[in-house]
Amino acid sequence: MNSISFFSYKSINISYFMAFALFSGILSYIISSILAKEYKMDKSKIQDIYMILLIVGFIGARLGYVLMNFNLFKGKLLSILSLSHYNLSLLGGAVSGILALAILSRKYKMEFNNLLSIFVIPFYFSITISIWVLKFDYLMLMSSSIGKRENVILLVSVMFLLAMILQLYLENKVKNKYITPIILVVVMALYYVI
Amino acid sequence: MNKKVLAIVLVAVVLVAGLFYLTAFRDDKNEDIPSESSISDNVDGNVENNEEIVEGHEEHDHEHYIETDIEIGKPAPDFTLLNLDGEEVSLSDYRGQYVLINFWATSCKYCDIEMPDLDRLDEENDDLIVLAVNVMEEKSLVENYIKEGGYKFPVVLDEDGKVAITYLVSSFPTSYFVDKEGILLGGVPGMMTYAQMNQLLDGIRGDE
Repeated sequence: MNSISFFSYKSINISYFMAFALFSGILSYIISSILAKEYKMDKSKIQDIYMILLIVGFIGARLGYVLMNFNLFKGKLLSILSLSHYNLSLLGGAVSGILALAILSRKYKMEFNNLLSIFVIPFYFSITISIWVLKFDYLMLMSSSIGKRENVILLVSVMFLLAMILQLYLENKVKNKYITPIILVVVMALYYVI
Repeated sequence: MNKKVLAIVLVAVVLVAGLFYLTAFRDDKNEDIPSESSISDNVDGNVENNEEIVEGHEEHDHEHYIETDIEIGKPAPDFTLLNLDGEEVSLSDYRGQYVLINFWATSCKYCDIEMPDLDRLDEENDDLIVLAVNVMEEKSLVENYIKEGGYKFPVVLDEDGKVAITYLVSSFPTSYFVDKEGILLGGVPGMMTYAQMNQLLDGIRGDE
């Protein structure tokens, strides 16, 4: 078995990261569409916002990594543009996503809290699934904050899964606008503590 | 929770369970392969030893051939190629050091950008060797390129491209990291920056 790539044929090479990103990205798109209908929001607007968040989140993940490791880029600012999946930051992606969501909520005239409570679900879902890519890509595992500790990947995956379930459950049970950000902050803090 | 929301949760649970099972199964399989010390013994030889393994595979034992295949956590396939002085250089010559195998070509623009950083990495790290494998180009062309760049790292010529094929190189540059025991740690298709190289190297060192 070739463990370097998920799929390789002649000049076509799909890395495990790309395969996981595509898979979770597509499923998250479907989930966003389902939730838009559930929360009685404009499905096409939600889909548009999802696509924008995807791009902004990716750029933010890169910028977050650069800011957190700025000493590596001193005197070589052009190398910031050299992207690879080894040098992205989850926190950067999440923060930029939230900022973009705040701007988009004004543009689309939609309640920020409602949008946040929709989009945290695909976010939790994506991490629940995508974190497993570390088990397939050894270099990525070593360059991540998680390291090569046994069962940490399972722990992180289950943590985001529980956050998703909790969010879905409490969303209807507790009508409190702080529930969504509290769960998000707690789960992100635990991710970096773990 | 209604049915659709429950379905989302169910899909997530099934996927997590599936991925856990799949990766646990892979780990179990890896435990079945020889211990690291016995693997190290296997890669301790030169290319002749590997040829023997391949011959053994053809005649008797199918499992031995797998050891020449490329897989993370297993011995990196050994090879012996000629350097620019016409001397034989094997990957196994560098046991005891980390090796960054870099597949490249003079015609590759990104290799050109990456080369000075590889040279710097090679010079600044005593425990790392950058082994630049030029793929299927004229020796004189490679010689001129290396001379003009003033690069100090070892350069070998993969004249028929067989090593590149073994290492599943589909584009230039492609780099692989090999640990001190000759175990393949992973590959990076595409150009790396100096920062990325250091980041990965630190990760590898930190993992030991």
